[in-house]
Amino acid sequence: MDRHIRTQLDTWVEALWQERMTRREVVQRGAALGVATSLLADIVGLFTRQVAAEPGPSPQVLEGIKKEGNKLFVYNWEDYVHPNTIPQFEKEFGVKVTYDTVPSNEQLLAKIQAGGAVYDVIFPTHNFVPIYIAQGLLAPLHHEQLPNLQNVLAKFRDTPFDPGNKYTVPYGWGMTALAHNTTYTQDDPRIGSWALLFEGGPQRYSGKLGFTDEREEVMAAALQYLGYSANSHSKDELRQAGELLLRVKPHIKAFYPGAEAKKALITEDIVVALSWSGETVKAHAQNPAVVWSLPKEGGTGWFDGMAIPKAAPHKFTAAVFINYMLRPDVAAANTNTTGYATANRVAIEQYVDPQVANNPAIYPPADALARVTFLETIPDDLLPFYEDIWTRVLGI
Amino acid sequence: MQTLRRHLLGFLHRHPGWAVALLLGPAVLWWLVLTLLPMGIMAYYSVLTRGPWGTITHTLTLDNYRQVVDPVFLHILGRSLRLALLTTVLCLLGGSLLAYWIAFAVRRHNHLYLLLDIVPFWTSDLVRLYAWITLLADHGVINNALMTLGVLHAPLPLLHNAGAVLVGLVYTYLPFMVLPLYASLERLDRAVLEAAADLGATPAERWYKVTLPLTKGGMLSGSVLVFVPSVGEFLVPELLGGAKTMLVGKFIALKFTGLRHWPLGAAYALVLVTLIVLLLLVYLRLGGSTEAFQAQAP
Repeated sequence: MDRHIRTQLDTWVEALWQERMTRREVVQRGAALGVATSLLADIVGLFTRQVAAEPGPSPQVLEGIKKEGNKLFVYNWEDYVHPNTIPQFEKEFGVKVTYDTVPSNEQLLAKIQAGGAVYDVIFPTHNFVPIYIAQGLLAPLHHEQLPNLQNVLAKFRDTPFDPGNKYTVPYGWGMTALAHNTTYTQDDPRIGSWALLFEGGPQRYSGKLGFTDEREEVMAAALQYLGYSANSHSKDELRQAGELLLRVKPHIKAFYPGAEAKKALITEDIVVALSWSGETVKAHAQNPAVVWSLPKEGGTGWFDGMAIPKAAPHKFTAAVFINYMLRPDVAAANTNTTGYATANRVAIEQYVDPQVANNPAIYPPADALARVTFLETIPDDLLPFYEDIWTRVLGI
Repeated sequence: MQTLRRHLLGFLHRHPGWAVALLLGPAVLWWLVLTLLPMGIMAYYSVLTRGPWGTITHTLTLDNYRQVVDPVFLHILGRSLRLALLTTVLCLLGGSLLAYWIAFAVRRHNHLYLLLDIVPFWTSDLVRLYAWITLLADHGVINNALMTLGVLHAPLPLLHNAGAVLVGLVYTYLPFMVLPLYASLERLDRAVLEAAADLGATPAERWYKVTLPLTKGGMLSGSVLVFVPSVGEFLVPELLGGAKTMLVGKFIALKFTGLRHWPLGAAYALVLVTLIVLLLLVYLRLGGSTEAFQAQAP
């Protein structure tokens, strides 16, 4: 692999992606961006095909893929791969990939549980993995098909959520904390604390607050502001968190599904938000006033796994795809554009753009990482109580 | 070919039961497969039990229906019904203007105008709702235009509130109102209107005493087509709505996804369907007939 050319290309792509735009341009270019992205992928594809020096897939692998009909159905999060990742896989392995994006973990689980939607590779978040396993929804992985698993950081392997990586392998990880627009928040003493959202919101940013609609992350932020653990299972503490959210709610613009909050941050429809780290990084690239802040009370962390549903029709091709995603050059390209950290050790050491590796919103320094709590699975017997609070928060 | 046709017609003539079956068959099959069967499956799910982690146990119970009376549900249901009613009224007003215009003012190529009414359906509603986001955002097309013209100094909050949801609903369902309205106006015998005019009726009287009673069916039919899907709408409030505009569709979806309690979600859905059917029955009783369902698109 000619790393030099690849790195240059990435820098060039990055430069195009991060081109600064004024507010008005953002709106005007919103529609054009989609077209531009796919065009860009084609152009990059042309280059990478010429410089590709990977040994290429073995005849056995190609045979196995052919047996399954050269097809693959991937269900991933929005903006979670480099624009060229899928086209490159299609070219290298001769597979037609159908790629859909998932709006939330709950909906992903519901779809897989219903069985009607047949996907080959899904990307569930760590705290949902035990539920898939308990329901028997995932196919066990054959590690001999995944030699690149050795590239993954030890920290993300063999976790309590999937001991021994029997069903999932780590893909990317990120954090959920504050994003704020410095044009509006400058000299606010609450910067650096959840108070910016829960106190500043009602006082200074009324109607300009945005939240992700991932239930656990919103509840965790409220719990941390109140001084409790993000993983609190105490009914009393959860009730207080719900009341706090209801008090702040009149000032909240919306609970945004998926990556929608990013767009509102860029256009300044919202100026303080509970946001995913990678979305904040991408928002910052388009509107430099939007910055990331991990509050002193802590934030939440998560990592997404790659898994093959039990009902997947193309299991072998799925394993080939997962192994491809674990390749350091692919993992690094994904991290460099998505703003989410890769769990791939070799990628970080050799391929990731230093600008990305040094970005505290992507790779937080040790003292910041210590404040990040990885969310646990909500116990099933607590779920009705938890969901009741959440429905009130959303519905009233 | 000719003989075959004659034999078939002869057979049907001698066995009228078969003729009826052939004529009704497709419609009944449609109704069974696409309406009754899914509702039956949902009814069955609604009496099952939730197992650990959201699995489904095939133990019959009525527990789910006992849980349905939830003050939050009633609150959201009230909001959904109010918004759907408002949507229906606005669609009736806007749709009437459009339908009257196409039926009476447009002299030629009426069907071309009707086609324009349906054209939006050729694009995914997701894409069309994103277009509304671009229009209504704080720094979207409308606010930017007004600020450039100096009409506004700060952007109006147009997106992510009840108003945006209403705009989205009216926009999405207006075509469903126009079609039946136009159909009933088209069939209105112009001679009757002329007769009324000859007998000295003013335009207002003609409308109130002739046009309105004769086209009531189209109005009722259009209202039903707009009201029913508006109550359960999921996508519009999800994309254009804000923190205070959750509708009953999302509430039910949360039972399936957030709580992972499919039987309870199914029970809520059936309660909603039953409630809407009851409302429709009352509405039709007030409207005087089931004529509403007879008006068809041309």
